[in-house]
Amino acid sequence: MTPKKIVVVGGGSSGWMAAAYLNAALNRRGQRVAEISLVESPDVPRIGVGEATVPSINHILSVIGIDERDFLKRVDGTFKQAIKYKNWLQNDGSSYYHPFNRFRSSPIDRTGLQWLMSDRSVPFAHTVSAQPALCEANLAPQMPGQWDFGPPLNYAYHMNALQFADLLCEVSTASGVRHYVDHVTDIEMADNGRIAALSTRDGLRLQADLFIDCTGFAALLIEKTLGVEWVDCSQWLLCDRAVTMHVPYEDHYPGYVRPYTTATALEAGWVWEIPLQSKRSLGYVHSSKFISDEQAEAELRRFEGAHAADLETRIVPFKVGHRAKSWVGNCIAIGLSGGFIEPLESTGLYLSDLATVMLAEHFPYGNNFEPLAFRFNRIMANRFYEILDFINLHYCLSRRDDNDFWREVRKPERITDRLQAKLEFWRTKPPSPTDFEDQFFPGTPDTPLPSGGLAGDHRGPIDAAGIFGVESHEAIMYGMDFLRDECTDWYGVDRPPTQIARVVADRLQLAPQKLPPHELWLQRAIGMPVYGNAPANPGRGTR
Amino acid sequence: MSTPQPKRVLVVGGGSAGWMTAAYLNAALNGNGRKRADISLVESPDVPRVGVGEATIPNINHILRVIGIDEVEFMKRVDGTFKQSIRYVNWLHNNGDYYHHPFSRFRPSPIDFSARNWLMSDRSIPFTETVSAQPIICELGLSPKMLDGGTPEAPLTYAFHMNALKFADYLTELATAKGVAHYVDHVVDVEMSDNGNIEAVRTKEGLRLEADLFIDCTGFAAILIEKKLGVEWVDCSQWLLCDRAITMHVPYDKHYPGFVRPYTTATALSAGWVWDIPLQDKRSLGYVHSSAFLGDADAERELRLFEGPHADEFDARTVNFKVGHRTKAWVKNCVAIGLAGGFIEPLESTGLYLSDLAAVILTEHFPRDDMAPMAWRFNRTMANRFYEILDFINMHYCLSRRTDTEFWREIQKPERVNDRLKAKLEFWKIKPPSISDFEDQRFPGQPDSRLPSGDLPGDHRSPVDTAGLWNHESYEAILYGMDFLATECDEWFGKNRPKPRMLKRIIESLTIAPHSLPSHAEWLQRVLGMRHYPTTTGRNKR
Repeated sequence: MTPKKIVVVGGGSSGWMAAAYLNAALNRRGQRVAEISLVESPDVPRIGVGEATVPSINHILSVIGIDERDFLKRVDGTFKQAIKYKNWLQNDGSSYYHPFNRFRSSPIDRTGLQWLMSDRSVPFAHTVSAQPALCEANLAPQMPGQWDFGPPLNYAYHMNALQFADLLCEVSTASGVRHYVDHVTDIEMADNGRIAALSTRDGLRLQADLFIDCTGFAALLIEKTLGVEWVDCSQWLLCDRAVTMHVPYEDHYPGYVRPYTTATALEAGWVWEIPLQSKRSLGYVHSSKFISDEQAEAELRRFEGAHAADLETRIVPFKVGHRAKSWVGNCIAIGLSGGFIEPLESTGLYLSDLATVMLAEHFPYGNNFEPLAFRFNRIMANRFYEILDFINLHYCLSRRDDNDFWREVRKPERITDRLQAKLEFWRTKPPSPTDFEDQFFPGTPDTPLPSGGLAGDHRGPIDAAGIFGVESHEAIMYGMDFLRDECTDWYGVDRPPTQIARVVADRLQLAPQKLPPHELWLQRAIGMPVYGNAPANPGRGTR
Repeated sequence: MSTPQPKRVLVVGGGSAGWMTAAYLNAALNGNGRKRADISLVESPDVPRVGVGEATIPNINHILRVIGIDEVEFMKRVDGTFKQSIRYVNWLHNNGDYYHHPFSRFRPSPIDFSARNWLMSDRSIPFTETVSAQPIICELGLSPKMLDGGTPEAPLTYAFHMNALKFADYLTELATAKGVAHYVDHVVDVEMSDNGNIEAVRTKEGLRLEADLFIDCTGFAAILIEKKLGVEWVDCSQWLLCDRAITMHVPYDKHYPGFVRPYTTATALSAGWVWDIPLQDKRSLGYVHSSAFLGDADAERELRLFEGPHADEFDARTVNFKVGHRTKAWVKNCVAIGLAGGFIEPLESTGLYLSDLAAVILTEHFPRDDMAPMAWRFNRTMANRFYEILDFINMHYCLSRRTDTEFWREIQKPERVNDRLKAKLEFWKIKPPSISDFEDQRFPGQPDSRLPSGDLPGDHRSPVDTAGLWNHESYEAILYGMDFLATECDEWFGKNRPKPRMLKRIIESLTIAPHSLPSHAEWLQRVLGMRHYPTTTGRNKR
């Protein structure tokens, strides 16, 4: 077998992850299936914000062969056990969690139903998962030594995405990926519509069988060269930019490192708060139609507190949508060039992960790419719409009406038709496992995927819970007080107090003896510096 | 707390589907001080019950757990034995070769390349033997459990063989003890209300049984869903040609081979295949065949020949069936479960499974007031699963290279392979099956044919196979058992290829197994009290 030549264009975290993963996954046991190069421009500034991940990252690290502690050390990494959503239902300081772990009762999981029949005096996620309370206590999901605390607590990481790209660069070049720092100036097409080669400023000509476009929104190959359309989805997710800021611990250390991401709803969007080992990373994701850059920046500073007055901020514009087809001919768009959804569920890197894993699964051994591209595009589009609907769900269940933005996101035209059909159905029957086998509900419109072109692909996207199943939906929906009035109809007003699952209560009782504070674990295991607490001030330390 | 009025559910029909539905719904919907359903079952004293030895798949364990049935007690009551695999004999060629489809399989992490590694090898070890200990554990006749009830370190997933009639009797006992009302009476009339719902059934002895929800478990007779509501049957005999079975029991007191196989055997014969299901007191055989290719008398003769001279003294019986499903299994307030809802030949032991599934999905979609959206999803899910099974069974046949009879030549013709399956097989010739193929089974060239289940707006989509039952691992077992991609692999990887490697974990399991696991017969004798039978001398090898 002659190995296939792959050129990855773009050296951000998507580009390096694609290069490193494909190299590790395809070239195993002395087999050489792919010969991989990556070319990145010295001129393009890299976008680096604190990045939160989902547990799929563990698969990527494990295939590439990166040790967890090395990883955490190299990328300023911390643990993430949940996302905490604050001020989403009402602007009153209330919050709910979407944890990575949860308990299911067996042989039938009735935990959702039992919560619905109760008086809701304990938030749903707290009844089925220890993680919300572990998060509130700032505990690590790992013990200092050998784990002996029952089933593991699922987690992902917070990290510095730039440092992650650097680590991947080092790992993959050491195992044979060729690295060119050079600017692509020209793209040569072959007669069959495939890309033949790239030329660079320094006079290189890079030929390949497959070209991976990781050039971000610039989309140098898939859009500028191949003219593949972008499907805009801003009708359903209004945010189109972020104001970002770093709060170094040297300037302001709150006294702990949260083992979770916080997403706090603000006037016209929400702010992420991602704790790293050296700083917190903040980003106010908002809609420029509702507030100006200056207003957004001022609001972010106000949110963070007085100590944020002098910290630098940066504006990052983005667009929600996806490439009609991310794999066309011999070109595959991975990362922002393929699609983007605001990172409310930390799916930024996930979509690149997934594309890379799918490409490895659909790697062409022969020369017939079209059927593989068909499946790849279909799966990526399905997953994109699964995420889109799920993020859309976070907004449309809000009861905030304190400003235009929050009134706007609840209007029917801001909710996808698929999601409307699901919500309608779940008002009749609460969500349950089979709903996610084939998410097609009464009234779901028969809208085809915008990825067609090959005969037969006329179906709407299918959401088979590739990432968010019944448990995640329950976390968000019940966190957002879904079925409040319906439950009163069904079960009456006078309902019994909410019960916490015994395994959860047991775990929480032992947790303080078993699990160290997140900060302490990072200091001991990874060598995070010890910072002095910030002076008592009304800033973020207490929020 | 206000307690909503429980829904009245009437199950019509007392076979294994009827009693399982009654027992499962009663256990799943009622309890914890709640009563969502008031369940009754009416069965006719006149209708002879169809009872053959039945093989199950592991989902039966969910049913037993919800109903609250202890495994040992269950096995004692139903003549039960363990089933760890299905062994397919003579499917590729008529030469005595076989392959296993085991329930357990080991998955290397973080990426499972075992299939790719096997494809790159010379195939000198069968695929499933490289990834599962169960084919060899089955060949050794070992139990999946130890005598003390313990399981090996790498547990062996199993289901059961059982006597389906005894299972129904056992469920009757359990369900009636927990409040299911039982009427032995013949339904003579069905009363409708103005809105098209069934209102009540009347019986020969003058009872009038009203309910909110009626479950039609009357088998192919389908007295509610078809005879009353006129819901159409979708025939699928174009893709699966078999339409009847000759069944026979071989009691151990007449003929005991000296062992009890811990697996089901499906041996291909001239116009179909025969099941061989070992129970504690007999083996149950059934020759599933196509009457278009083989007469009853010839089929019976072939079955007797297959079993051997001792079979001459046993009764044989003919059971007719039809492959297909109800366009909608749930219409108005009537839900068809079991044969009334659909049937596929039991080549992968899915007979009881489709009833299981319907009971589980009905529980999940148990109606509060508005039944239509519940029915819509129920029908969609059941139809998806039906076609998933249909395609999978279809695949067992169409990969055969047998040309020794007209039947085997026929089933390889393109018009006998459904379009969805064809598209999958074409695709898998370019890329071997892998995990994500089962997220949304839509392949290049698959026609946009619609589910025949909708008159609610929007249900125009083809069935979706999201590996509700079988994922790529099961597909690999059958495809590679049937020597799929033989010529393609020569092209891709050359002819001179290395031997396959068994996973280290499998070799370790197999080294320990003969010491830690008793023979299946010994386990049954010591733990369940199965009788000791003298081994019949003569032909026992098959």
